[in-house]
Amino acid sequence: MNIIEAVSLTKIYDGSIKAVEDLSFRVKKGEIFGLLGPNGAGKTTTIGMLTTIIKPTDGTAYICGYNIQTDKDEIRKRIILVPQEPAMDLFLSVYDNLYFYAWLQGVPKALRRNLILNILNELELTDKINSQVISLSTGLQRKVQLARAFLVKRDVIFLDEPTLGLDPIGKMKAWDLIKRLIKNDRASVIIATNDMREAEVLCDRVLMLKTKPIIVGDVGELKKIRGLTIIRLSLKDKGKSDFSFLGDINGVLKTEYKNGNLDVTVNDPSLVHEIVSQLIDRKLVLLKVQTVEPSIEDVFLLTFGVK
Amino acid sequence: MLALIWREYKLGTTAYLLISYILTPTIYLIIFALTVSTSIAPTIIYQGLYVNYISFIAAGIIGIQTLSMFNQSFAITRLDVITNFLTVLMTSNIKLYKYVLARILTIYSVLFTQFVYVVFLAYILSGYFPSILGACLALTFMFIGLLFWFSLGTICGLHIKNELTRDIVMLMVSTPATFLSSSLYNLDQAPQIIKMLGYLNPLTYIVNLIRSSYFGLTIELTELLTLVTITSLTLFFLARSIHKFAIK
Repeated sequence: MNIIEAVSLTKIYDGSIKAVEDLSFRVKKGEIFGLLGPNGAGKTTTIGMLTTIIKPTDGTAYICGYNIQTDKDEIRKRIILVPQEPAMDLFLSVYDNLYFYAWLQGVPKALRRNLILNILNELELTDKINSQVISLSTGLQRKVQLARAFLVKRDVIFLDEPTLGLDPIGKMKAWDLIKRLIKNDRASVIIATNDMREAEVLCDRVLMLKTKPIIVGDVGELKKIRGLTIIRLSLKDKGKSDFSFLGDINGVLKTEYKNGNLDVTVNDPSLVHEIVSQLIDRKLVLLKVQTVEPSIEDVFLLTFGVK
Repeated sequence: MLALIWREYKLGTTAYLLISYILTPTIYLIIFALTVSTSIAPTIIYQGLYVNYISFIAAGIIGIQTLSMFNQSFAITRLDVITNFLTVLMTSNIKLYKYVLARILTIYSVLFTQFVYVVFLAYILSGYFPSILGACLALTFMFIGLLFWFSLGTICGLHIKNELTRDIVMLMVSTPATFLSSSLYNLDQAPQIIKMLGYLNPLTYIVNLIRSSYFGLTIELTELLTLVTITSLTLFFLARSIHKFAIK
């Protein structure tokens, strides 16, 4: 069953600036769907249209069967949006922020306190219950924002760059938390991000877009579709070589030298022979040659033409 | 709606804000008005009447307090826009007019408290106490004044995103509006140019109407019509701005 169905969504600002063009996709119940793209690709605008905040110039979308253009109130009863910025009252306490939001969402007074205590306990935030939000670190503020998102159950949760500004440990904890909470709620989730690792960890399927949709599929599939292979060559000594000569080989997409290893991203694994022979021609000593599975980041870079 | 009022009270009742609500009118009345009335002139001619300067200033301070809501509503609206609070409200199925109403009600209750405080403080210092009818009328004009400055501040908060522009607009509005009005002196006795500029200032009409009610004098119909007209226009533009914001 499709919870979200976007049909040729288009947004043009000021009559000429195309933010999103002809975007169509579907999201199933319980699915975590990633919107990936570089800055300015139209991810936030897409979320804005789906959450009924931004009016599409053309096309439409259905959330739980309701049209975003005509059934805004019905849709708003079924969604939760976590925007990029922490949309919280910085001078109120963690508890007051959550209490206000629960009230806003129609949670009966008798249930609010327990609901808040449970979610704070789940997120290990109980000791911060009376702290002003402004006194918390960015990571903790993000956590409070996530707590608010999962305070009440809704059919669809929109997370716009949910771990922006967090350190790697903070990100891992947040991802773990999101996965856990989503598993409990069985909600469908749309995550807009340009953090490829985040997409890889969280998303069942992703859509890469740059104003227009470029490619959609599950993360494993996308790697196969793009036919990417990384050839990792361990070198004894790099010498003065900058490996730019490898870029002249048709099918070599990216070269990266790090810690004695040269990673060459290719779209055809058989190129390994030519690459090795070119390196040997330049008197470079190879210690080991192996193929490595590409990351979603490699797919992203290839998709958006970064070589 | 109740949740929004609760939020406004929670945000507005921090110790610092409560102190500032009391401190500002106290400074105006005790430091400014008392000093002027004892060192320069204890009375002032207003609409042909000799009135105590402290009582005269008390009405002006109430007007100035409505003007202070311009900066407050500007800053809070802007913050609520840039932190996406308004977006979260909308996606929570809360209509933005409820947000505006909650804020107006909260601000009015603050101004009402300040009004009572100023009237009693002025009574202690000058011995003058307005009639019940006069006080009720003054509260009504204070409410209209609040609607005007609140709407103007909220419109600016919805449209102005840049912090520098915000600071410049706040400064360009609040300081000239305070001093180029009848709040601290009798504008009719001021030089012609100041008088002319003063009557271009909405605060002058707000203060004049509050003051006339405060002293039980005749309300100038033209002043009342002017204030009602500009307030209605500002409310209309506020409704338009909110509508536009809600359907980007």
